[in-house]
Amino acid sequence: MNDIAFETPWALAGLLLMVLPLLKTGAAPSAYSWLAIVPADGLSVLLALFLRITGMSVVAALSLGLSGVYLKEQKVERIGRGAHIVLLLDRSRSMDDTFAGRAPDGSNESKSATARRLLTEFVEKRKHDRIGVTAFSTSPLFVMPLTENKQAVQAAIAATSSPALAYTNISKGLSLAASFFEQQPLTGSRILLLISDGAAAIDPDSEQALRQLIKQQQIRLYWVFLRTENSPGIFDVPEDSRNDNSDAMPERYLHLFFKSLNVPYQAYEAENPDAVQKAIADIDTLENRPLHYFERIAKQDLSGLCYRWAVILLLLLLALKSCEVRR
Amino acid sequence: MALAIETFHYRLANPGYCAIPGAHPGQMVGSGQLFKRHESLLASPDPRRLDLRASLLDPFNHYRVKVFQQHSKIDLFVIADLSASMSIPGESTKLQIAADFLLSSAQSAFESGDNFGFIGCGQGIEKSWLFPKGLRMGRVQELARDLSRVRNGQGGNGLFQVEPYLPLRRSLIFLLSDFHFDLNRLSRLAGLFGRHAVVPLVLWDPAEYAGLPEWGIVKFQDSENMRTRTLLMRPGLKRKIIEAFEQRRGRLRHWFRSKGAEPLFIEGRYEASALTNYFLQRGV
Repeated sequence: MNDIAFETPWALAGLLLMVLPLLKTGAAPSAYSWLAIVPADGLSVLLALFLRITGMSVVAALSLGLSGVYLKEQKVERIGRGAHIVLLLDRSRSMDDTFAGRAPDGSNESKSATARRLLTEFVEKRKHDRIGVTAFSTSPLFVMPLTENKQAVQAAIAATSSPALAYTNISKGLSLAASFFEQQPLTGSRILLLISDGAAAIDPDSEQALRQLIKQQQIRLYWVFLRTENSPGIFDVPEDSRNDNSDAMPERYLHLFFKSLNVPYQAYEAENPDAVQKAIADIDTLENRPLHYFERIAKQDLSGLCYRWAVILLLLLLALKSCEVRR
Repeated sequence: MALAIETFHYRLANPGYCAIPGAHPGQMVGSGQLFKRHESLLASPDPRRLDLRASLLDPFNHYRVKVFQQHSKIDLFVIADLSASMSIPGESTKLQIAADFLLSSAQSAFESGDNFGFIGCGQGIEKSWLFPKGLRMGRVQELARDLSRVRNGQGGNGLFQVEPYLPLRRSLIFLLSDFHFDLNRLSRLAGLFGRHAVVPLVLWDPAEYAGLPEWGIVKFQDSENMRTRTLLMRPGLKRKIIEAFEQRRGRLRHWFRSKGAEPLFIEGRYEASALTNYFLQRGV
């Protein structure tokens, strides 16, 4: 009953009129000299009762209809297969280049376009997931919190098609993405899907904070690294040990950082759109755990239903009225 | 009033004993056609009625005089129940029938020279509905006109207070009612039956049982306690209602017969010939 609300509650005063059918039914009685002589008849008693109840229901339905009764937004608890996924998209300028490191010329699409296209398909496939979208470049961009509304997620992904921004500030992006899981029920798995074409060094302070946050939120990390041709990869080990530092090879050090977190972590190095697709398909099959989630059902207007019932019952009463025999 | 008033013939089973000559066999000795007995000349000194043959045959040599039975006058009362159930509008209301009967019985009484009285009983007994025995047809016509118009919304307790208004001498009483009340209440009328010759006239409206529709929804309001009932009419229920009325008819007849009276059921409309037939079949 808590889910029922009214647009114009004062119209509920009309419910008081429900006593009218009790006091008077529409039929004018004809006089009879002695009703005690008429034998008791169950069917007639039922009919009289039915007439009264129907009359009361009509009045009730009409006043409920006038009061604009509606069902509040509802949450239905469901169990599906899926995960809470936060997409962390790199919006640095290099994402607008192709995998070959050039500006897209029509025959090749940019890395961000590939990511968009494949993520859109991915979102389409994941029926019960709650997906959030965030992006980062110089600073993190809050795009869309965790939601089950697929249209909104699609729109959020499409919105990243605007021209990219300058740099890659991955630590802020990661902490924003991880903060999405705060105050969310712990059900199914929590996935942070990072899609980037580069990395940056993480300073020790934020490294410590990230380490704690990711541990706390029990996040599973996936990193789809869109590698530009001839650029250093995640798994590359430098020949010269002098180059082995986070400033020279941020990708390798980010990978090592993720590995050291002791959370489930998987990195994919994709050098062309097909590899990206493969990586995403991989995630799709891996992350299908039972998920406990609430489906939202929008507010439902019940006044139409009330009016419909009022009309049905009124027609019924009208039909019965036409059966009345007057003397 | 354009129609001629139909009259009926009535008689009493037991001879009356009113001193005033009338049209009904009486116990009084006087001028009449019917030989009653012989009396001595001393007892009835009328030499014109001297019976010579009987005087000669008398062993004591007394003069014997014939005496004749004198027809005597009787009192006729109509008691009408004016309760709400009697004044329900219908094809011909029960009170309309009562008014017709009032005129008819008054006319019949005047034709045979009897006294006629009327008592109408509503919730109590009102002066305006009292017509002491007499022979004024004009007043009776006024009463009949008023009677057919009365719309009473009350019960009929007056019926049970009627006894003090009746003469002590045995009279012919027509009791007009639909008797739509409990038989226990009816037994309060029992005193009437021993003293007087009572003819219960049961007025029923056939529209209330035989005239009900076969199918449909009807709503009835009891005319006296104002309760309403909705009935879903169907042939089975109609049959049950007719049966209930038949049972009621049987019970009323049984009760009246136990008091030595035979009820006459008038359903639909009044016909004077029904009363003539009634009195031909039995004396009261």
